[in-house]
Amino acid sequence: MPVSISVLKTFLRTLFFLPRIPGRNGGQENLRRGLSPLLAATGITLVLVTGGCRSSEPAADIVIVNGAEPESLDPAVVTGQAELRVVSALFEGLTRSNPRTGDSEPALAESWFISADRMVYTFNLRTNLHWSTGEKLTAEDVRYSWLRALDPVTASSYAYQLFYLKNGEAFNSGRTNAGAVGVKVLNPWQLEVTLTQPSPFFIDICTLPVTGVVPRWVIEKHGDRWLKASPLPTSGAYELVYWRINEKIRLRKNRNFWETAAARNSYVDLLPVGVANVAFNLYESGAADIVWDKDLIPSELLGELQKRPDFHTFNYLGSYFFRFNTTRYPLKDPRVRQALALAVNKEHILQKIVKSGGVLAHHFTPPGTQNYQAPRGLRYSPGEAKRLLAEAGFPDGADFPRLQYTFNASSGGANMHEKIAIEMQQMWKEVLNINIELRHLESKVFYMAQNQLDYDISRSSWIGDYNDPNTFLDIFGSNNGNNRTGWKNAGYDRLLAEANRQVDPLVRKGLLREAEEILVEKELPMVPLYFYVGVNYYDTNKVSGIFNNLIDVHPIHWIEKKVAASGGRR
Amino acid sequence: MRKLIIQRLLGIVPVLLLISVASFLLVKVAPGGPFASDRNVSPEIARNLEAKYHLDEPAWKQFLRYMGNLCRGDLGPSLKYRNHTVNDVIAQGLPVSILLGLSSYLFALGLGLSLGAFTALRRGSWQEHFGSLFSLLMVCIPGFVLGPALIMLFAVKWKLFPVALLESPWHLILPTITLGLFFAGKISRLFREGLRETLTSDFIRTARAKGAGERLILWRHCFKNAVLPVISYSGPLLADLFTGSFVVENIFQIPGIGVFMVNGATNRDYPMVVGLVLLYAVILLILNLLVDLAYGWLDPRVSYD
Repeated sequence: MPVSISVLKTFLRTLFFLPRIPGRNGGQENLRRGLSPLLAATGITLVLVTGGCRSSEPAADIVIVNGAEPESLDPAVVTGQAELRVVSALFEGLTRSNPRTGDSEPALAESWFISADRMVYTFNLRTNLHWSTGEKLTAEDVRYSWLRALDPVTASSYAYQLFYLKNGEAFNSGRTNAGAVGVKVLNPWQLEVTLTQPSPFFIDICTLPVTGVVPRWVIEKHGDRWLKASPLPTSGAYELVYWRINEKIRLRKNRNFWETAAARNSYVDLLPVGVANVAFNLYESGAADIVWDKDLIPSELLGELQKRPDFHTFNYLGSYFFRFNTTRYPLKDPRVRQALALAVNKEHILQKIVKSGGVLAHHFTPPGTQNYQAPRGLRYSPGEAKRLLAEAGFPDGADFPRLQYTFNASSGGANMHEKIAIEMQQMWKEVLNINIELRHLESKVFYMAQNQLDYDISRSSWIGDYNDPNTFLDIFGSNNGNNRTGWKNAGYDRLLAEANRQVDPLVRKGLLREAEEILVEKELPMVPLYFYVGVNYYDTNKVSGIFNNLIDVHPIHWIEKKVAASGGRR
Repeated sequence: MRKLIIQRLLGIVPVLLLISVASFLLVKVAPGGPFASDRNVSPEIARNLEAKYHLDEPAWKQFLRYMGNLCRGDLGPSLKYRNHTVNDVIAQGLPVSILLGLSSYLFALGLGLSLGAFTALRRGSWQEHFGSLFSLLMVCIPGFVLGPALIMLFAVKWKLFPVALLESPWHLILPTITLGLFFAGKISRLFREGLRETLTSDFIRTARAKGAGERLILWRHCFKNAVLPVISYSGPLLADLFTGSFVVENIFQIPGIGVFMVNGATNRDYPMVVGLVLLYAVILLILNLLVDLAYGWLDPRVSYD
């Protein structure tokens, strides 16, 4: 505080050179003369005060606008896309995503052997594994990291991905100890993993950041603040130079990484930007090379941006849909749910509101999902919708109770959810002659309402964790915490369980398809509207190494600034 | 004087206690929890999370735990940014917010006092009307309009300043103007009124009658009195500025603490909200004390002895 007072005093003193009373002798001139020292003082103070801002660090090779500020960089804690991108660069797992296809490929593990019953996986680790700080990295580190993610004390939101491990769930809920979990170190370079059932997507699970390998000795020493340790040992292609909250994350190439030539750049800056216009301005002014987050597209510029060669869209594992609360009258009746679904003209919504931000959806599992062929789903059919509603006891909407459509504010401030809600309200009125009220809730209240089944119809979305139909279909299982519809179907549960026990991919495909038919054609606890589209912008003449894939994963170590275009920019 | 300072500083303690109780209760009353999201975690994992942050304990116990940590200067962990504590966030963001706040204050003071003096001394002329209109405009244009407009013109179109971030003094200029212009308008109006009133007082007439020069009258006799309303306005103003601005920090991507104050509430980041509210309260109370002390220094009619 004394600083502000001294500055104030300086200012008051400076002001003594300010204008004399005009009209006597040359007030205007004095005013001008008086103002100049004032302005000079302001300027000098500003320069002095801000002098410390300029840093002397080397310029980054690539600057990426990464989306909202990461909630964490701890592999066991992170859930959002923005965090996952940074975490995968810092902490590698047994496998990782191929940048071109998004498929899992060997990483810390060089190879693996799967038992005949597909219940036991034996991973062979590379023998040249080191932490970024030089220590040896062994199978014991992998085991520790997995058990840590499962440990109830860590309170990892993604721990459920490791519930496929034998006793994984029991350990997480405190019913057994770590020793009982199906992960065993055979020798420093071999890890044996036992599962509860043959899960064909288990290698994809090993790619998820939650399985990333973390340094035990640092975590045991620093506890929750281990990421602040300096130097921080990392197992990925990069090490963390610093992480300034809401300002910048700086990564430096890990020179001890097993794949010595992996990183195509030495320094990478990731800017946490949550406002689409700021992201766009930074990119346009050359302060950033890449913007990669679907929420960072200024919606009002979407039409214009689509025409540009540096604007890239691609299919993505994400679905936008709405849920029915199947515990409430009259939504208990599948015919009512079908009628409401059939009355929605999705094509119109897509053309008018979503535009190129989505692809029409009649089923839940996005197109392109591996080893899968989704069912056809229901199409817009006003006549059939009317008939079904009449059959359910509401001819021409008569006596239909007033229901509410609940939605939350969209991220990025584009009002997308609201616009879609208004459009559907109109469609239900026109086709079925029923009145649906709109209920707009603040995000946290919205999720609470959805969770407690305090809604009739509710906006929803789901992003897949890995490229397999299970990551979508699983959530509508009777006991899944993300079901949030009150819908329980024994047939559906049985099909899913049977599919995930199945060793033959073709049989599995059929079983999953049958399950999804129940979901999107017969029972409809949810109605798919559209599939998300991944969006990023970068100039292909300046940047290479980004490939469009279904899971929207773009390993940072692949990205390279083309030599001809690299200039001395900070 | 010393007695006053000690008294006031002691008085801060119960006020802070009251504020911490009130803010602690208010954030708890808000519906929805810190871990509600579009991805639901299993009941076991939810229990683990709550146990980790002691949210499963009764509210009074949580409060006592919080106060215990507070006495040791620990404002607790952030529930949203789980690798940072509230202390980390303040340590990183507060200097940035103070820097921006201070530069905006200096800008507002420089522009406001000059414009105030300019209009007060040209009473009735077209310059006064023009100046008043200008100060009115400054007060009326909100930051979320001015900021993007400045970026459009000065950063995107003419490329004179950077569009966002805070890496050099150049980066500070547009945010300073955006944040400070409103306060410059307010200060100019306060100072104009103060100056006008003082210029018509008896002691000024006496000074003139004794043959004092206009310059002397204005700066020796008038200024101190006329600037008093600006000084009392500066206390809460600086507290506001030092604790950051949500709008300006968002528009220019400045890593201050204003964003955390607002987002903390929407994220139900309980320790963040309570911690920042307490920080705001401390800054406000201290600045108010300084304002009172400045009164004693500037106004001979006020004495603390």
